[in-house]
Amino acid sequence: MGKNQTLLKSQLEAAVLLLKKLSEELSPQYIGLITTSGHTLTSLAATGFNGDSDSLASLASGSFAATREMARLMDDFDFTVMLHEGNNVNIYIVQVTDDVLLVICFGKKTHIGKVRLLAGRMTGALAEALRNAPPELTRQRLTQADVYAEGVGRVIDELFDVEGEQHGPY
Amino acid sequence: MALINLAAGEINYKIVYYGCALGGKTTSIQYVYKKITPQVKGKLVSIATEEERTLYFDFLPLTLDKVRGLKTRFHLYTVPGQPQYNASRKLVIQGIDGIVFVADSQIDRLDDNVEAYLNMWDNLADQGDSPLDLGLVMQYNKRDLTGIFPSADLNDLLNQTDSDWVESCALTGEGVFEALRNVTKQVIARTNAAAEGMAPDPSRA
Repeated sequence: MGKNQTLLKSQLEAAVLLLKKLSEELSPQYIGLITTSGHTLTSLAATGFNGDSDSLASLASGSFAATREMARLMDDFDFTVMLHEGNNVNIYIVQVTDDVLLVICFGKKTHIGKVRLLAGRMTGALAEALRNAPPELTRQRLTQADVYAEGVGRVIDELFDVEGEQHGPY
Repeated sequence: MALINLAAGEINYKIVYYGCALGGKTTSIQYVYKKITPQVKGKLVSIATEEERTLYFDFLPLTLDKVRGLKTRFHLYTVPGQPQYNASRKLVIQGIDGIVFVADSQIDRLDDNVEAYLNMWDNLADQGDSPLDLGLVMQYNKRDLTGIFPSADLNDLLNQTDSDWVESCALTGEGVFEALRNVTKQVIARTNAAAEGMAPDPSRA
């Protein structure tokens, strides 16, 4: 792809409002927007949810991508929804935009049909909220990119210091 | 592509360890997990076969301190090295920002290295990417063994993009962080360049 994807505060706030609304209806253990690359845009988790959201996003995007490819092998090019049913928790994944997925983890008390219906209705509004930001808005916020890059470079040097590495007698 | 989440104050990058089977990709990421400051690392997730060969990917998230109000996050992945899992490799490299190509320095693994390197180009091309547009570092691994190519020769044979290269022994960790440092700086520099490219044209002011 080669291009950066930028998410503005206004976009995220709009998306979070929609997720909260959906969360009130479904009482999920976890609900989140993730990218198809496995990054989390935002997520809400119920009290007591012990899952690791980074791992969940990575695995959910991988699982969705793998299942979509299986569908394509069978000539289905319009695969947008996936459901995993477990003993105690179900995972529902629906595609929101080309790059964004909605992931909902919910218990047995929530009916799958309700999740499917409400999540399906919500995807259009979420897609609208996440529509690409105008370039003039993103460029304003990236004007200090050089300062950021220099600062991160220093952090990386400290963090990835080779001092801790062992050197073998080759 | 980097995900710049201005609302959350985060920039997310995806770095993938690519290379032939049993070359040292998983060992490298495991070494990073073992040695890096605990506050920085998340859980190491591996989807592996019963023989501990990578089936789909390994995944390790790293979160750096804030700079200019932005938190930097690197998601490290490996691809499965075995050729029969090429479909999985294609999925793992979606949205990629940088690559650490881990080559096995042993002379008898040259064909496998070349095949993996060409496969990397093919798979990136399939999704409209090119190694020329990404951060890329060559990590010449297993330098502790006998029967290996001199690194300069291996570099002549493999490194078609004239990318930076690092000698390593993933088992002991030598070179692993150097390669990671190199590729992370490359991807950040590329984001920086992209941001500068977005700056308003002064001639239009």
